[in-house]
Amino acid sequence: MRRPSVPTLLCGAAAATLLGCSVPSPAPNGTPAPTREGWQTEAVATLGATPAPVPLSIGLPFRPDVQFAPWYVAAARGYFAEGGYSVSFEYGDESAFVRRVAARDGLAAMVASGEQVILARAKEIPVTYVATWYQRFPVVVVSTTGIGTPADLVGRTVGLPAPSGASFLGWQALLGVNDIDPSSVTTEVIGFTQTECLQLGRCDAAVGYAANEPVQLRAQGLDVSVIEIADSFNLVSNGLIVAQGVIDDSPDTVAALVRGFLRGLADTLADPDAAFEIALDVVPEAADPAVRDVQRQVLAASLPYWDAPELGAIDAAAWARSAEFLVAQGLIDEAPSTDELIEPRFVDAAGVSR
Amino acid sequence: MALPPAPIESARAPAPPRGADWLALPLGLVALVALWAVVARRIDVPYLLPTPADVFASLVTNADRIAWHARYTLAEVLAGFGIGFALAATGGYAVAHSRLLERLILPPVVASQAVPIVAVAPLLVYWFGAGMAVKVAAAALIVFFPMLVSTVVGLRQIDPAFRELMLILSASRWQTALHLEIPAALPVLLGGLRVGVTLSVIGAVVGEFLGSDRGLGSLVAVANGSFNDDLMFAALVTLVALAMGLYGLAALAERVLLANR
Repeated sequence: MRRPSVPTLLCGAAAATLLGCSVPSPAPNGTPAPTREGWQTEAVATLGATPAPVPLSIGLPFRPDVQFAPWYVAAARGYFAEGGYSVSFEYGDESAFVRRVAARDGLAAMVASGEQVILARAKEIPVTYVATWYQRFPVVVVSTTGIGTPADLVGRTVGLPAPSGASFLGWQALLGVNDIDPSSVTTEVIGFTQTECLQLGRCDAAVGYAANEPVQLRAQGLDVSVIEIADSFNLVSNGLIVAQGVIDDSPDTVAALVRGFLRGLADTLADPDAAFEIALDVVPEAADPAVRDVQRQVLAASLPYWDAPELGAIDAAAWARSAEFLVAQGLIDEAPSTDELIEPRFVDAAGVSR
Repeated sequence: MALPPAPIESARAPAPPRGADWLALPLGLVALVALWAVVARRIDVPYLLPTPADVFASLVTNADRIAWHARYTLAEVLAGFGIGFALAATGGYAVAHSRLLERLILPPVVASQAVPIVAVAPLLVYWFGAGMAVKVAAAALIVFFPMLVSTVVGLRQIDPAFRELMLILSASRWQTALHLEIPAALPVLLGGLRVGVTLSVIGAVVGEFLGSDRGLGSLVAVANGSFNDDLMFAALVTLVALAMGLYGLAALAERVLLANR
């Protein structure tokens, strides 16, 4: 039985204490999705009809964005439905989604950066990475003052979005691999105001996303230089994450989600224009003539980070290196084994090629 | 927009707690921690709700780190409250003496309260940069409205007969403020102080969530991102203690300043 959510239990416990009577907990969210086989057997046995797709939710970080085009394409073209599932998307904080996915509280799966799985497993939170989306770490250092190599950063001021997360880890990796003394670079946490920081000259460079800040700044006519952190250390990046319990109890569900996503990814890489149009149905704000061209460039800038001869392939060696890096950073005491972190069999079985 | 008239009976200092009243707060905290422990044990999933024992252990282990961050948050809170209070008291005094100013200033100020601070916070970062100034600005903004209302209500509730007396005595505006308006408005003002000082903690933390490497809000965000829930809750408990401490100081100030009324 799935555990009730924390807010539900807190309210129930408080009411029981104050009123002296027990309050039945509401039905927990995220009841286990029946397998396709179970549905099919029952439906055929009783009515002989095709069973309806089982609804489930996938968590995507932050807010709707054209960069989620492969997911939108998979949903719009029925690739998840062919596997027996009607997928909807929730948007929000990655850390909160990890907890909900692990607790199987209303979220069947989520998309997040790979280090979230390493950090979670180090705290015995049972989530597993089942398909790679970004084959190349997309965090970059962007500058409008001609900073083109890691060595150019010495003595300069760099804006960081946060003192944690994928961007911060990428920054630390860049310094470490290139033997740059952290004290030789002045850093300032600026939130998600990298573009403004560079425009106003408050920083010489800023850590951002390859498909975001460089595209925005070039659209304003600025001369932009980019340092690709992946050239120094290709940290594990965004992909599909599920609870270990779902892999154990409902492997067909995982297989359907992986296959559906990889088909959506393949279609996006094959025809980005069509994928962009589908994304505009989900993100109508991106169709505004004032931003449409830039948003199309954002999608175009993302494609090289997704493309690979084997879509979705999970590099176990990269995961081991990334886990050791987190140990070296003092974020975790011990690197979880790659067997806990990743499950590549669903990608291998999906049979989706570029 | 006209503010409602305030009651004009004189206010007394709140009676000091006596006897068993002193036990109310500690007993309440014990009951809350006990409820927390029961719920955490019932859930039995540390990454959803850590136990009080684990949080306390983290508080002890990370005491230096938490104290370092708490100093920054406290500085932001005090600076933000000070600026917000100064602006609100000045503006409130002007509005209380001018119906025209009230009709001009209050509607946009009230409308601005409908805009969540998290929505305007990125603009604050744009205007003030990402340093301490934006956290102070967020705290000042969140404090401004309640303190403005407290000031206006406190001044408006003064019996007109006393104002006439000051006129008869040929008191200057400064003498009227010092000997009549401020003492008479103090009870309402101090009530607003208790609200404002705790709200300023929220403002400072919101500013830290936007982008900071110091302060309890930043520590909560970092701990959350690395699933260090014990540390996250330890930082939250510290924030709660900070807010309660400031509220207690405001209540103490109220008791002292109104002691002889």
